[in-house]
Amino acid sequence: MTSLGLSVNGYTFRPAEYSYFLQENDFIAYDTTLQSDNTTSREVNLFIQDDFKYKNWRIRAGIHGVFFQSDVNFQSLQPRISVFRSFGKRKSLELHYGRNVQYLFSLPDNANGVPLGIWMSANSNLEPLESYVYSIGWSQSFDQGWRLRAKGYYRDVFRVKNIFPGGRAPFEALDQNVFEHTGRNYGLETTVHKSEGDLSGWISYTYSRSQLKVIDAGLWTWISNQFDRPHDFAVVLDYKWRKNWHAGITWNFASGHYISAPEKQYLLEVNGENQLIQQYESWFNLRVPHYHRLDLGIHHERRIANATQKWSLTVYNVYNRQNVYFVRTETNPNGSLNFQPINVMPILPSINYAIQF
Amino acid sequence: MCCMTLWLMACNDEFMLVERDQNEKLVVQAQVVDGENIRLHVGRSLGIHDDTSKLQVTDAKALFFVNGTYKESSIPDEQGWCTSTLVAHSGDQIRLEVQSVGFEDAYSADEVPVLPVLSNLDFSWGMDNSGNLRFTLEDREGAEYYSLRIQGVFREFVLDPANQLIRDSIFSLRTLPCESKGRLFFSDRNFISTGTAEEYFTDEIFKNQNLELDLRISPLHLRNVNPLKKLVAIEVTCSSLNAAQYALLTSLSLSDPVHGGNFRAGSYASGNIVNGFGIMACSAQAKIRVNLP
Repeated sequence: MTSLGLSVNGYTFRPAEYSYFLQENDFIAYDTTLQSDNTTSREVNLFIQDDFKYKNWRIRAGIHGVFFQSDVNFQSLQPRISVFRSFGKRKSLELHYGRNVQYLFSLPDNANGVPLGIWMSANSNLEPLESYVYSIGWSQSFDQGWRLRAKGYYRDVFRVKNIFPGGRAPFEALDQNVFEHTGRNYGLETTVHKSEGDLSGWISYTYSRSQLKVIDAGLWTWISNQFDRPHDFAVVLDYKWRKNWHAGITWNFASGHYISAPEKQYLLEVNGENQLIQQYESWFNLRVPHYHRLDLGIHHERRIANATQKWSLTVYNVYNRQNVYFVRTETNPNGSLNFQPINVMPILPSINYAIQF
Repeated sequence: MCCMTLWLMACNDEFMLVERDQNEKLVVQAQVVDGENIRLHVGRSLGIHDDTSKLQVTDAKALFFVNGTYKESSIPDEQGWCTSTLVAHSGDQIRLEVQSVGFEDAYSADEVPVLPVLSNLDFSWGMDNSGNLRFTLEDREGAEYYSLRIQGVFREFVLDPANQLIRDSIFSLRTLPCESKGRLFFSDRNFISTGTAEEYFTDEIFKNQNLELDLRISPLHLRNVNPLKKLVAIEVTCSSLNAAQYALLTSLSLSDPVHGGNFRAGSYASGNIVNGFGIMACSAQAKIRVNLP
């Protein structure tokens, strides 16, 4: 079936705003709010896609044509194609290729570990991000509701944008503070599903890398990007042990992400004053502790007249793992710097009652 | 709500950065100014988790070379400072080597840039008590990077408790933030980031030509500064810088200590010291002054 679509979007961004206040004695010398200029952009997106079938083959092909206008105009054609091949009723193979051009992107603010980004649109200073993805997947079903899925992928990314470590958010020095890199992502996703019987759920493991290409000691080398989290493991199980009763268990593990942290410190006299320089030596050089969490839940369901009554007792983060949400920096009296991880959401028990009609 | 938020947030134990390079380096800061003795400070770097009270180096030795010829050596004092008997001149090729036990030798070499030429300084008062400042900067061969600073010379009056004048001969310098059309110079960004209202720029847009500057100084910074201070002169200071000093100053101005708060630390300081941190800053400074009635 052929599908055809058109979308038109308009965006307004105000990337940065600062307040500044200066008082000398009782005299207010400076009191203002500084903000970057608003940027507006428009995007027209036209796409067409179709499925073709031949015996055990199925091909889904499409193309997106995008016209993007900010202070300059951009156009792109973004083809994508997926090929499926089934082997009997239980096995299938999938191949995929796609080109993607991204005109809106989130610049990760270099605040240490704070998961904030500043949304910007492509403009004369920031060219759009472009990527090419290749993937291959295999799926196979077994008796008693078991299913295995595996998918490998590789993605080349051009013009990945990051704010320079220690630099401020994009304001007026946008073109000096935003650096572009070539990047790559690759990985293998595996999942085992069980959908029948008293015990159902899935176990998944993903090995993935997200890297940037930089010059280190005169040589091109790959380093970790902010969200380079190689290992991601999840177990989600639901067990129905009595009529109306079932229990769930979820355990997640993911490698910690990276932040950019200064490595060296020294004194320099700048404009007549001694300044302690806390020097960045590289991008994304500090990995925060790994993330893992266990959730448990017991649920009771019963029909009442025309409704379903459901009681749930759940415990979030059972062993009270203090996962890092962001990192605060603290300077000790002796000048040394500490990285203090802050977590949110410790152990949280809850009781839930619901009636569904 | 606050209690709930505090309960939901909890601190973990700190975690440590494992430095890629465990070796500490010499930190050298040399000031090579046309017409002045070369000054030098030697220190050392430390890891980010180290106690910063130990940033000094006590046994350093500095060797000075001019135009390829060894001239002299100096031993920094306990604070790490030393002043050479050598006087730098525009066009000199200066090479500096610093040695200290336990550290790799650090060195740097660069040329002292030519002296900038300032002329045609004129100041007038605007209708709104703002100041209009005009002057010309002549770009010369051998000067590519500049810093520019506008300062007011204020005569201060000190009053006794009975408000009777007892002293009026104290003069002080105060940097004056300026504005320019098109915000090429003295934009708010620089005022905020450096706190000194010093502008750094290259000659890219006026290479080998005269740059006519027409600046406005807000009345906020002139007559309203303090009723006991009177503006008596304005000084314009322009320095031609070597590329490394320009890179250092601009790299530091890109950092944001003002707005960083608890979540941001660090900065990136560009430098030109091989096997070390810091800078050999070469410059030539010109200054002109206009007295006000």
